Amino acid sequence: MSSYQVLLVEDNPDDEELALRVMRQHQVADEVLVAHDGMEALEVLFGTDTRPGLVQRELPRVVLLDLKLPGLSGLEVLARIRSDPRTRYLPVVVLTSSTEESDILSSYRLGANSFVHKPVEFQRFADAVRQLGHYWLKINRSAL
Amino acid sequence: MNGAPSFLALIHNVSLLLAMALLFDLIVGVREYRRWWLWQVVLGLVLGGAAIALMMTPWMLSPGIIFDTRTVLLGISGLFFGTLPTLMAMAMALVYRFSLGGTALWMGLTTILTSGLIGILWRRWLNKPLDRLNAWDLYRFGLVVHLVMLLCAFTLPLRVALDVLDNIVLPVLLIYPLGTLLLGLLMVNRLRRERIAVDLKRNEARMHSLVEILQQPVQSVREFLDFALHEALRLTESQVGYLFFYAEETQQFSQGLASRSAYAGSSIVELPENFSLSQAGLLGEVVRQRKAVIVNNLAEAFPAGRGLPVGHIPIRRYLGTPVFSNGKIVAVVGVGNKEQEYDDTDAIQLALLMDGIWKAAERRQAEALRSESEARYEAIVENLPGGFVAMLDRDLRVLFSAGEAMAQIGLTDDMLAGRKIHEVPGLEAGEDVARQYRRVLEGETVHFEMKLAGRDFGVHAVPLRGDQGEVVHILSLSIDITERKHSLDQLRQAQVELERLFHESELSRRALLSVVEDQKRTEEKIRQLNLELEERVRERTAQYEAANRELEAFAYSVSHDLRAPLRAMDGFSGALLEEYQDRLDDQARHYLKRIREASQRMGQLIEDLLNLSRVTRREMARKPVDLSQMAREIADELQSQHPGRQVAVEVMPDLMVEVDPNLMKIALENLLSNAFKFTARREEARINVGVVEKGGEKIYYIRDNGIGFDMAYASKLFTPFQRLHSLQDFPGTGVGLATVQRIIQRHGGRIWPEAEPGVGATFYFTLGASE
Repeated sequence: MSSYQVLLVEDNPDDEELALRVMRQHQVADEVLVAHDGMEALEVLFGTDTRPGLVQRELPRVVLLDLKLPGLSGLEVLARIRSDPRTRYLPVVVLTSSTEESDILSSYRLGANSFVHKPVEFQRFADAVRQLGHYWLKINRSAL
Repeated sequence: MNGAPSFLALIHNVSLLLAMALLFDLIVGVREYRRWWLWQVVLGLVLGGAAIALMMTPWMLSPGIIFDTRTVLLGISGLFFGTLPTLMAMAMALVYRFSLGGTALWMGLTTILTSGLIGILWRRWLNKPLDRLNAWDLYRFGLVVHLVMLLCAFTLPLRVALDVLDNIVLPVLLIYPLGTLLLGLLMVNRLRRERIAVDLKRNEARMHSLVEILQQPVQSVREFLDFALHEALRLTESQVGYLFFYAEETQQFSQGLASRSAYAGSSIVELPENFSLSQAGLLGEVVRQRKAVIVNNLAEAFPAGRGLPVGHIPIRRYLGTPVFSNGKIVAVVGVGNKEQEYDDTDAIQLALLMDGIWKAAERRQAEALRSESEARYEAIVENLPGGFVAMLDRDLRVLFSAGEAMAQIGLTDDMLAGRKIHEVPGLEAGEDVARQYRRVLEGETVHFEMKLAGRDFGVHAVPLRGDQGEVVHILSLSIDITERKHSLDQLRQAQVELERLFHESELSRRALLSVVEDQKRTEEKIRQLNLELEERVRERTAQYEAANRELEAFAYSVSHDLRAPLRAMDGFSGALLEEYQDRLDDQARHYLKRIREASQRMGQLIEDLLNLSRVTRREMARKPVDLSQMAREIADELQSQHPGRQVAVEVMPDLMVEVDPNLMKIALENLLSNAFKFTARREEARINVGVVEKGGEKIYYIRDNGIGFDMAYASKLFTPFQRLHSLQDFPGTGVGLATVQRIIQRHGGRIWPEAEPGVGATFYFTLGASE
């Protein structure tokens, strides 16, 4: 089983596909694992009874987390990640359509490493994803 | 016996014995104790001389046997003159007799010895004072002396003795005791006279003491008694003395006082405050015997100082006497250490003095009490408020009258004294008043009213009875009741007035009550309305808050969910254009481009709409802001976004305002970007930012020389999504100015435009008062 560079938590299939398209163009798509809601994201990370999670194997370099998720919200997922000692320092980038100040503040309060707005204009969205990949996978050195 | 010479000798003897009586008379009055011894010696010499003179004129019984009255003289001397003078006289007689010699020498000597010694011893063993000796006492003494003298005859040879005795027994026993009796009576009489004189003198002294005591201006009874004790010492010629109160009921002595001399040389500093009869020595003896106690030889009677408290000064002689009052012992007074012995006279004098003193003391106390009670009565009578007291005799004459009211009605005791009651000036219906008083004489106690000097008096009269219960006087107490009567009338009037007032007030009260009830009802209504209003406000507030929450939730959803499909439309259109470029014709590409533009425009609309709602919802905090600098920064930013344009932006410096910086920035951004946008077709675009002052109000403005607009549309300008120009000419959402207006309004200010098409537009705004 190959290791994943990026965990993308995204419930909107359009956004997921667009994001993966950008990553494909930059040859990182194979290393991207997608979770479609908060619960799945936690299962992927911490595993289930039958399947071990990423924490047991190798953590991704970065988590791209949408806030508006069905069921467990993105902020709740973030809180769980930060409360576990194994993932306390896992880089989490909030990637959301929201420009609400309250969302920004809550994200940082819960320990998000970055807050990135998803622009409506695709080109700018693509740029953002590309730059994120470049920064977190190439430039940044995390504590893990 | 030779008749004539013997007779002469007898005369001689008698005269010498009489001279002795004279001598006694001389010394009896002498009380000069300082030269006592000298007196005794002189006395002895004189007596001795008299004895020798007697012996020089004897009766010659036979040669060598002579008789004289030496035995009478020496016996009387021993009895009356005392030991020392008698012994001296005896010695002189002995020497003289010895010088005579003769056959009866021994008899002569023994008679001298026996007669003198019998006298001395008789005096010592006598159980009563010398002045109490009666004739029989003296005769018995003479008989004893001369019987012994006869026995002395046996010092002669027996035959001579018997012979002599035979001759002299009868005359000696007949004459000598008689002579002794006579001489003794002279002495006793003299002593009795002296005693009377002394008693008189002491009585006088006691009376003097009493007078002095009574005149002594002393404050307290104690001080008085102190002085009395001093007088007692003087009267009894004592050196020390004390006085203790005694209570028969409790058998307790108390409050003793002692003469100052008793403290000198005593270790007792203070007398015991209280002690019982059983603890008392000599004092107790006085109480137990209930009479005067005289102890002249205290050392023998109480050896080792018993009978005296420890530390007491030595007492040689003592005289104590109880003081009686109403048959009870109330005190004990004791004196001591007189030079001579105490006798009954001392005791009597002391008792009499103390009795007098005690009566005086009691009278003093009684007087003090009486004067106190008199003063009290006087105070009561004189201060009887609005009243007076009078005493009448059986003839209804005024004996005495006093009281405050007397002066008020112009009467005095002097005016009334002696007048009959109905003659009292100013008294109305005097006969009626007299009739009332006569009832009192019958023994009744009466109350009545009288009018005196125009005032009303209530009289309370009681009979005062004598020893037999008969009415002797009338005591009358009169109280001025004029005011009371007057007030009673006033009271009745006041009561009527009061009732009237009460009735009126009752009416007013009822009227007032209805007014108050109305008011209460109104207040209740207002209260109810207020409650409803508050309730409504609460409801509205809750509704408003709920609406606000809904709006927020809506805005949140919009920002998330409306954008995602737009991104998808744009994204996938873009993907088509990129990946299928070669397979799409121009028309298809054009359509895709239109889809992308539309979705982007929609994104912009959403963004602006969110901004507008955010401006309304956002918390506001005013801070000092440099508006000039903020405008310049925004202008620079705009300049950089439109690098191909030349716009002259002039900003008035130092526009200091107090606003919310975030909101103000949004407003300025909108206004300046509009100005940039609408001057786009000007060759020399110009934008001015500044302030004018009008009526004390600062009005900021942003002016451009852009295309302007028709003021007819000015009212539509601030409505969201309202546009005045075509999208082709000037792209925009039409939300910007609505946002600006919201911001200005939130600051409490106003915004309005001034424009002319083709010339330019100016937006004016105020920022309200910064609190």
